[in-house]
Amino acid sequence: MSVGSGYWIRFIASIVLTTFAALIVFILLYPVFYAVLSSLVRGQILVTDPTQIMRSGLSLEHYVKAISDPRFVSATGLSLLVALTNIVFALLVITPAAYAFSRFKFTGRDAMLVAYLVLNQVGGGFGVASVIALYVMLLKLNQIGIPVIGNPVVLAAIYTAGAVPFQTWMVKNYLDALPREIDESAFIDGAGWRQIIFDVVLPASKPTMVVIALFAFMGAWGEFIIANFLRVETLAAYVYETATGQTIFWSDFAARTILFALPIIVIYVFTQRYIGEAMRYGAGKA
Amino acid sequence: MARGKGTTLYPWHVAFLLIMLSLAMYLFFSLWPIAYSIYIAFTDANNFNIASEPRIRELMSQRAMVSSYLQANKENILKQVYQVDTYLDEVSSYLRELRKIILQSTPQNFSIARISELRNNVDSRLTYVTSIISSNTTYLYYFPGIGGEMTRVITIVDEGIWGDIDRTLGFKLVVTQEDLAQLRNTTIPKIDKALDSIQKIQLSLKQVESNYQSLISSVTRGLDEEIDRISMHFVGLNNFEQLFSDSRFPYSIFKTLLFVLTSVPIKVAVGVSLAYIFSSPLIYGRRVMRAALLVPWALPVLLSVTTWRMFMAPNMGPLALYLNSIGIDLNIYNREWDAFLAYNIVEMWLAYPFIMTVTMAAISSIPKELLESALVDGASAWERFKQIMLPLTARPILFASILTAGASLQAFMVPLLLNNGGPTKELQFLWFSRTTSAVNEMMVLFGYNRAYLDQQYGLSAAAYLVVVLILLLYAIAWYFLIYKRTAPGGV
Repeated sequence: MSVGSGYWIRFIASIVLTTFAALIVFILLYPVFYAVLSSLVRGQILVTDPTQIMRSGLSLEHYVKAISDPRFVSATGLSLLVALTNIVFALLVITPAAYAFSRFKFTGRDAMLVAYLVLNQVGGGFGVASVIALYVMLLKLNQIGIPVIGNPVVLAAIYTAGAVPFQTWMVKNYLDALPREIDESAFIDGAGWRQIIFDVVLPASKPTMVVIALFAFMGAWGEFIIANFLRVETLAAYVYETATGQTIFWSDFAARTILFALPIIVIYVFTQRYIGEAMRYGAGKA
Repeated sequence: MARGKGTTLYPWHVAFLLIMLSLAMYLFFSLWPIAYSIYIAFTDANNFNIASEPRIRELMSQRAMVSSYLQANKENILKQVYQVDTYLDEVSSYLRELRKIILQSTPQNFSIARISELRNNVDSRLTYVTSIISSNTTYLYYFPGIGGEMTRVITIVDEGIWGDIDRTLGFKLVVTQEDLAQLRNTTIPKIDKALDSIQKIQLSLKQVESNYQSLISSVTRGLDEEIDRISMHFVGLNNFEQLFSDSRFPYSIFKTLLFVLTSVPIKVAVGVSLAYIFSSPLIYGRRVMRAALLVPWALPVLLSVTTWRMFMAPNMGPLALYLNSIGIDLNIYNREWDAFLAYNIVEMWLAYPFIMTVTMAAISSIPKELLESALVDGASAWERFKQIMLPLTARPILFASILTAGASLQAFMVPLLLNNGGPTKELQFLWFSRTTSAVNEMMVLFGYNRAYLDQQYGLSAAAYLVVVLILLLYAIAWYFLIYKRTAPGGV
C-alpha cells in the first residue's frame, strides 16, 4: 500500500465523515433554526419550510411588537429585579457557607454535604413538591397581613434557598482548589477573622463569586413555576402564560421567547466551561 | 499537629456562623415546606379551607354575637313568640270559619263580603307573623319547623286557597251550586293542610317557649356548619385511598417508570454516539461543531420545549406536516403514544449534551500512548474502539446514565410544556377502576396538576409523599451505588 493511496483514502473518509457530521448538527439544531426563522418572517404565517421565507421576506416586526408590549417591558423589569436580588442573596449566603465547608472541620459537616448532594439529585421533584406546600404556607402568611404573595423579594429568597445545595457544592470545590496557606499565613500574621474573610478570602474568591452571580441570574431568569404560583409576573412567567393559550401566534411567540432567552444564551457563553464541570459534581466527579 | 492547628485556626463556632444563613434559608424555604406537605397529605386541604382562618374567626365572632344577643334579649324574643302564637291562633280561627262557610252555605246565603273580610284578616296576620319570624331580632326562622313550615303555609294560603276562590268565583255576582261543590272539593283539603302546618308551627313555638336554649343552638348550627365547611380536617389515610382507588395515579407512576426505561437508552445512545463521532480526528472543524451541538444546553427549557411543541404541532408544525406528507400522522395533542414518543425525543434533545460532554471527557482522558501502541500492534479501528475506548469510558457513561435516569424520573417540564400530560382519555390500568384522566401525566406533573388545576392540596401532598419516597429510593441507591464507589473520601 503506497503512502499516496492511504492519504487519498483518509481524505475521502474525512470528506464523507465531515458531511455526515455537519448533517447531524444541522438536523439536531434545525428546531432552533426553525424558531429563529419563525420569529423573523414577515406577517403571521406558518413557516413550514425555509424557502417560504424567501417569498415572504425577513422582518423584525415580531421583535418590535414584543418590545412595544407594555406587559413584556414590565415583566422584563421585574425579572431583572428578581434576578439581581437573587444574586445579592446568593452571594451573601453561599460564599460564607462554602468557605466554611471548604476550610472548617465541624460536627455534621460531612453529613450535611452528603445530604446536599443527595437532595440535589432529586431537586426537581422535591422542588415542585415543596413549592405546593410553600405556596400554602405563604398563603397563610399573606392572610395574616405579611405581603408575601406577589412579592419579588420573597421570590428571590426562594430561588436562593433552592440553589443552596448545588451552589454550595460548586463554590466549595473552587475554594478547595485555593491554597489554604493564604489564609493560614494571614492568621499567623495576627489577622482577625474579619480581616481574613474581607481582605484575604473574598478577594481571592472573586472568580467564584462571578460564577455564583451568573448561575443565580440564570436560575432566576429562567424559572417560571414558582413565579407563577406567587403571582409575580416575571418575564419567564409571562412567556409561559402566553405559551398556554388556545391560539398562539407562533411568530410573535417565537420572537418573545428568543428575546427572553437571549440573556441566558449570552451568560452561557461566559459560564460554558463551568457548566460541564458543575454538572459533573453531581456525578461524584466521575 | 496538623489536626490541632486545624481546630484552632478554624473554630467550629465561626463555621456555624458562616453556614447559618444559608442553612436557615434552605430549611425555611425547602425542607420545612416538605415537612409541612407531609402534614397536609393527611388532611382534606383544598382552596376553600387552606387559608380560611380570617373567615373562620369572623364567623366565630358572629356566632358569639348572635348567641349573646339571644341570651340578653330573651324576654323580648319570648314576647314576640307569644305574639306570633296569638296571631297564628287568630289565623286558625279565621280559616276554620272559612271552612265552615264553604261547607255549610248555600248559594243563597253565601257571603262574598265575609269571605273577603276573612281574607284580609288572614293576610294581615300572616304578614305580621312572617315579619316577626324572618326578622333579624328574633332569628326564629332558623328554628327547625318554623321557617320552612311558614313558607309552606303562605304558599298554601296565597296560591292554593285564595287562588281557588279567585278562579272559581272570579267576578261572579251569583254563586252557583256547582261553584260551591268545586270549592268543597279543592279548597277544603288545602285549608286542612294549612291548619295542620300552623299547628306544627305552634308546636315548635311551644318548644321555644319551654326550652329557650334550643333556639340559640339551632341559630348557631348554621354558622357551625359553615365554619366546618371551611376548616381543614384530619382525614387519616383517605387521600392515599383516593390516590389508589382509581387508575390515574398508578398509571402515572407506571408511565413515569416506562419513560425512564425508554428515554434513558435513547439519550445515552445518542449522546455517546455523538461523542464518538465528534472525537474522530477525520472531521474538519469538529471543535466548532461540538460547540454548536451544546446549544440545547444554552437554551432555557421554556424556549427549547415550546420550540419543539411548535415544531411538532399537529397540522401546523413542520415536522408534523412533513410526516403527514409521507403518510405518517403524528398528533401529539390527541394520541397517547405520539405524545409519549415526543417526550422521548425532546428529553433526548435536552439531555444529549450532558451525556456527550461526559463521554468526551472520558475519551480525552484515555492515554494517547495506549491508542498509539495498539495502532503499532496492528489493531483495527474497530478493535481499538472495542478493546480500549469502550471499556475505559464505560464507567463514566454508566454514572451519567444513572444521573440522567434521575432527570427522567422527575420529568416535569417536558410533559407540562408539550401538552400538559394530555391527551385526556378513558383509562383502565391493572385492577384499578376505570376513570378519565390525562394519560401522560408523569408523577411529578400529576401532583402539580392536582394542586394547580384542581386545588386539592391534600391530595396533591399525598401524591408527592409517594413521589418523594420513590425519589428518595432513587437518591439513596444513587448514593450507595455510584457516589460512594467513585469518590472515595470525596466529601
